[in-house]
Amino acid sequence: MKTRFSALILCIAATSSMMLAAIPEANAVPVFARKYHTTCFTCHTTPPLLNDFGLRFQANGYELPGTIEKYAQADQPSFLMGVVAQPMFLYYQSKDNLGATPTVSSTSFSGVEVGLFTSASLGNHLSFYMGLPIDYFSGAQAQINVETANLIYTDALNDGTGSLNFRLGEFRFSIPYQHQVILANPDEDPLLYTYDAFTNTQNGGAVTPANRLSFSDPNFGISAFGMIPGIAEGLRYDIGYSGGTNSDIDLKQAHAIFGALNQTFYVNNAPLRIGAFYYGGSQLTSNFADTMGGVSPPQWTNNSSRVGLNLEIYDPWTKRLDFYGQYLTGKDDNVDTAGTAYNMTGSFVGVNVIIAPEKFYVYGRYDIRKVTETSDNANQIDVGFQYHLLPNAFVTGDYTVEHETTPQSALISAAIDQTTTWAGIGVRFGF
Amino acid sequence: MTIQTLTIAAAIGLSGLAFSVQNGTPDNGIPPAPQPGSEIFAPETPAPPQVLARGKEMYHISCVPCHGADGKGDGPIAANLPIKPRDFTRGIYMNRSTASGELPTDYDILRTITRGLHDTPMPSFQQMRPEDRWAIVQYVKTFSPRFTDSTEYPLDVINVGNEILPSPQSIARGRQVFLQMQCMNCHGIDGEGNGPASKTLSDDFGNQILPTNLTNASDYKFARNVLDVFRIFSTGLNGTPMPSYAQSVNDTDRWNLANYVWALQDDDQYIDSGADSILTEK
Repeated sequence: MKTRFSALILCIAATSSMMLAAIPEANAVPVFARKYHTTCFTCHTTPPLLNDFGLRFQANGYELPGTIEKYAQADQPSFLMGVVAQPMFLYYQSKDNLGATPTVSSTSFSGVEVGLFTSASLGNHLSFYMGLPIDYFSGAQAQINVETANLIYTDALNDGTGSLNFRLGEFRFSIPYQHQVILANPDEDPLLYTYDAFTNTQNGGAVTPANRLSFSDPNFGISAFGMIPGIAEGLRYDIGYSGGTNSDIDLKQAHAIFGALNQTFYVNNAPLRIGAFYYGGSQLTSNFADTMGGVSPPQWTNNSSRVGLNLEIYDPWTKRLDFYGQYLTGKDDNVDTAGTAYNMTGSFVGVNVIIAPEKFYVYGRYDIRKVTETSDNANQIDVGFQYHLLPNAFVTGDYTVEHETTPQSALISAAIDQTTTWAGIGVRFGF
Repeated sequence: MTIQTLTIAAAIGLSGLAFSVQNGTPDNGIPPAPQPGSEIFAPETPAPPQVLARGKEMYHISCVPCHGADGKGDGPIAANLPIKPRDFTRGIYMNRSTASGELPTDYDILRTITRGLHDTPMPSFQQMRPEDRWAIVQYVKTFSPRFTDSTEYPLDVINVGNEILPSPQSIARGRQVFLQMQCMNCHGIDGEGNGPASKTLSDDFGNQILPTNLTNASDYKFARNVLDVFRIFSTGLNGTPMPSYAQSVNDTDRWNLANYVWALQDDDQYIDSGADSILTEK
């Protein structure tokens, strides 16, 4: 075991060295930093965690706050495509505590996880943003996907404040903390965001929404968003309508509305944010298990809603401790043909600690989630670090443990007691 | 055709459109510079209230995260930046066109807002409306009482003199000046920012600062051309150990020094200049 661990460390060191050798200059940074002739840390505490300026940048339609871009580029030609890559070694273990299935564990190299993104102004008020991750799974061909692609009409009030912007296309709604830290865990979102009521149905997930309403996935829709200055130090909002899913959308089959408000106050110049959001709608649902034998699957409509409250506060003295938390409650009123309703509640609390600015960060988060009707309980703890070797390259490590229990019941055919562990270490760099 | 397919097609189209229009001639948005030596921006002509109000509004939108609502350089993200944002309350500005120790002109502040400071968290706000940038300039000045102190005026805007174009002789002479003025103590014998005193420097705010690596174009925060380098030699950088050489080095040698320093960024230019051989022959 010790030998294997040493070999792993050696491999990581060798890979890191090779990756860093390939980075030509510390100032070779992704598209926004290059476009605005600045560093990553203008907008990020550590990528992808946004600081106050980054939040305003985002709320202004990916343009510097207070600006309205007139041209596709600034005064210097700039390559419009940014690249972020994160090769990692991952350890995974799934243990059935009831002993019904054998423990599974594996160590693997994640290979190439590359994200491409591009953004540019198309003229006065008009810009676009597009993210194209390249997914690679062992033994399969790498695939490039358009994950997000949207047109943004910025500063609709034409007053330079960017308090009203519109977005059309495929995008994620402004859920706080969705990407608060980089996690080695491939299921990197908080438990609350990946909750899918249909996976807990008695027929093992054969019930499938034709158009899933998901926090995690980008949705095709339209929204109005921005930050209104002058209301304390900024009221950030995002309201929109979407088709509810990111693939093969039929807008007649899913409707969802979304709204989020986040108010920032400052205590001794330390941010204090309070927010609330709602996401809900209806989706056509089918029992695909019934298609066997040529029987047409029954279809029905599920109504989902999610309501959340969030809070974030930096310590007002050093401003290097960032505490955040969220409470979320959700309801799905028809998860099966019998009209069963599921109610989910959950929350998470976390902290990001900035030990050395632009250099060394550690983080931790605890998640808990419960489903009332099935007595499903899940909790998860994450700890990790990011150490910047260069402004645009850092070593990241993460350890995640999730424990889930569900007793046998009228709704659940077999009890579940499972512990899942992920551990990862790798290098993330962008240029 | 699915929405996904349509989205991909639209995205590819947008990328192409962006590439095709990026060669348009951008307006750098900087109003004409005041003439060197002109006496302007006297304290008895303060900005109108509506300009200050607009400046405050735009300052709170764009500047507060780093510089803070009170202009003390302690905004919400300042604690996590190694290069600290400017504290406007003391009226000490590095990037100026005025004599050492003096206030900057309005145009100097505007230039920093417009250009940004390269390779620092201070971005270029070139795409902000010119009138909004001017309004921020006026608002920023209200943080320091120096700007309303009549004894601070008139400002002595430096004269750029007669520019000397880069040549082997000019670069070689610049190298001599570099050595004579002990620039290598901070910037290193080869200008790489690694002189013996380089680790001991701090600014007037108590923050450690590193000398510029003159061989790396990315390390130049203020200078975009030889004229900017000449200006810095003439004005110094207030609040830092970088002095003004306006009194100790004449205009001609400051130009020679600027040509030498600028050539350090490009090994080929420096070698082609033959400066080393000229110096050796002497």
